[in-house]
Formats: sequence, structure tokens, C-alpha cells
Amino acid sequence: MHQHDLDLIAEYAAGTLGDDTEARARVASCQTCAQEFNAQSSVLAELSGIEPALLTEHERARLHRDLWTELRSPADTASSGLVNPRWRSWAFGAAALIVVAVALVGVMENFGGGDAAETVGEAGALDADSRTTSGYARTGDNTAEDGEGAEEALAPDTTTAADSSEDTPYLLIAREVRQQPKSEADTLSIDEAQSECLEESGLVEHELVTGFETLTELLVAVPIAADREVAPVSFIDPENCDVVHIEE
Amino acid sequence: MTTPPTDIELVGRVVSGDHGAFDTIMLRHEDRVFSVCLRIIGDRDRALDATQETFLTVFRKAGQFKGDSALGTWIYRIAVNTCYDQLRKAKRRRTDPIPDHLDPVDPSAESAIDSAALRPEIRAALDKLPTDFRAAIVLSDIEGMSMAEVAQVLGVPAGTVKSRLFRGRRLLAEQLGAH
Repeated sequence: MHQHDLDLIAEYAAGTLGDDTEARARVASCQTCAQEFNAQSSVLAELSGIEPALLTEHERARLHRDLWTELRSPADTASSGLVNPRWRSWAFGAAALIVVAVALVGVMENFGGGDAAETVGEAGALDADSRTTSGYARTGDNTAEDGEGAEEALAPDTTTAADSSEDTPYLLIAREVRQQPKSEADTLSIDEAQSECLEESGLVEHELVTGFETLTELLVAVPIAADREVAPVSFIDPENCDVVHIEE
Repeated sequence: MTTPPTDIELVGRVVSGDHGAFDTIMLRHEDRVFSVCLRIIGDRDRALDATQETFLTVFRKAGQFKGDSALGTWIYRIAVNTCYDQLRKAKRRRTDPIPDHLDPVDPSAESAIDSAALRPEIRAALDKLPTDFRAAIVLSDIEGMSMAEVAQVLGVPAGTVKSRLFRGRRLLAEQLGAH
């Protein structure tokens, strides 16, 4: 069969021919053409009815958790990942400024400049203690110029809802939790398995919250004693009691 | 009402360190990337690994995206290449995959998985195809991409895509006809 005929038959089977007169005639008059057409058509009919495969919520949570764990690994932050190579020189410069600032603080304290020292500390301090499992560097907006770009790659994620044009499901749920006054919260009376899960996750003195339309397969927990408006919201995989995400 | 950011704007934000922008990219494309990987690889766990690997690459190479194609096209090209790597590694390991219609790890999502699962005969027939043909069939006939987009994703001329589709469908028909 001439190659041109195969192209014609394939396009006819796929329904992409503008004018299928010639193709129909060939299929009608040529047994080989007809067999090819039937083979192509039957496969296309079989495959086109297949629905798209979607991630389950469990898989989606695992994907995000594993991805950010990988991106936060030391090898990745050292390469192209979380600290933009263009800003390394800014980071070094900022670090030098901080050293100078600290030295100045020392000098000023000796001469009674306590308030100024506090101001300098606020401007330049690195917050190395506030690392969380959800934390990663926000090195955007030229923060290096303000002396904050020297933050480590694993600095806490202090993004507010206003910073992102589209929020993650975790952030949306955390926002919803924080907008609920405690007395109106849709809290769960937890069963033994969930209680054990909270304990295993290290989240004793936490309460579970429910009533969300997304991430329904995860447990959502907040500290009982904390101010709900600022409390970290933890997302737990009940299969293995792993904390898959914390929204600070 | 603000207009949603364009692909170039989103990628620019990712390069600048905006992780919310990267989350946006993921939310827009993760399901389709996973679907492509699953149809090519045939195993949910490995498809999930390939999806993760794809977005890791997207993150690390965001600075290389110039907007010559749609962002989705660029991402799916990375996904297909990642799947090729996975399949090559799997061949070397010679392990038996968990079929894509079973998920023992997440049985609570069984209904969601089953509704999108391939019939075992189709899965087996796809697995027998050369990976080039399989990728073309998956992108075009299952995921519904246009010929032009498939050509961009695979990085080959449209004529090559046509040829792979024709020969791939013919091989599938022979396999399915044999059942």
C-alpha cells in the first residue's frame, strides 16, 4: 500500500480529515484499507473512553510532602533550589552588614545605646529557631537588600494569605480554622485510634477539627491552649500518623 | 478582579523564590502529569515518583523556561522524559509493577482509582509497545492532546508523531485482537 493511503486512512479513522470523500471511497473499495481503518478506529474508540487518572488526596498529600522534603534537603539548597544563585553575593554582603551591625551594637551598648541595639537586632537578626516542617526560604522581593536575604534556606515560611495569588489547600483550611472562634469550631470527639495517632505524632494537647471539603483524608489538628488565630495547624496522615504538613 | 498570572509571570516568580507561585503551578498541572506518567509507566507508586521527580526538575530548571511553548507543554515534556528514565531503570531492576488498577496502599480511594483504571488487556498491550509509540498514544489518544502539542512535548516533527500513532495503534489492535 502506498504510504499516502496509510496517512489518509489514519486521519480518516481519527476524524481529522476535512473532506473524507476519498478516504471513504478507499475503505469501501480496498480490503486492506478497510482492515487498517477498522483496526485504527477500534483502538481509538477504546482509548478515547478512558477517564483521566486523578491523584487521590492521600497521594496528593504524599506528593507535596515528599517534594518539599526533597527541596529542603541540604544538597538541593546548595544547588539551584531554594537560594537563587544570583543572590548569593547579596547574601554575603548582607551577612557582612550584620556582622558590622552587631559590632556597632556592642560599641553602643558600652556607651548606653540599648534601644538602638534592639532596633538593629530587629533589622538584621536571623530567626534560626523558628524552623518548621513547612518552612522554606522566601527569598523573593529582593529582601537581601534589606539585610534579610542572609536568612538560611530553611527559614520559616511567614507567608500570609495575601502573599499568594492562589493558596494551597493547607493554607485554605488553616485560614478557615483560624476564622472559627473556638466555641463555634466543628471539633471532633476523637476516638481511641485518633487519640493514639495524635500521641504518635507528638501532638498531645491538640484537638481535631473537621468539616472541610478538601484533604478530607487527613486529620487536622490545632493546639488546644493556643490562640486559634495564630496557632499552627497540623495535617496528619491517619494511615501512619505522620505529620505531612504544618501550616504556621 | 485581578487576572490570573501568565505562565511566564508564574515561572518568573518561582525563579525569584515565590513558592506560592510554584504551588500554583503544581495545582494546575499535577493531576495531568500524574495521569500521563501513570498511563506510560502503568504503576501508581512509580507514577507518583515520576510526578515528584518531574516537579523537582521543573523547580530546579524554572530559569530555563523561555516561554517558547506553553508551560504545560514544557512540563509534560519533562514528565515524559522522566517516565522514560523510570522505565529504563525498571527494566534494569526487572521488578514486577503493581498494576495501575490496584492500590493496596490507599484502599479507601479504590473507587476513584477503579473508575480511571485501564482494562488489564489494554494495560498489557500498552506495556508491550515501544516507549516512543506508547508515549505518543498516551498523549494523543488517552490524554487528548493535539498533534501539534504532542509533537512539541515529544520534541519531534508532526510527521513523526503521525507515524508513531499509526504504528502504535496498529500494534495495539493486533494485541487486543489476539485477546
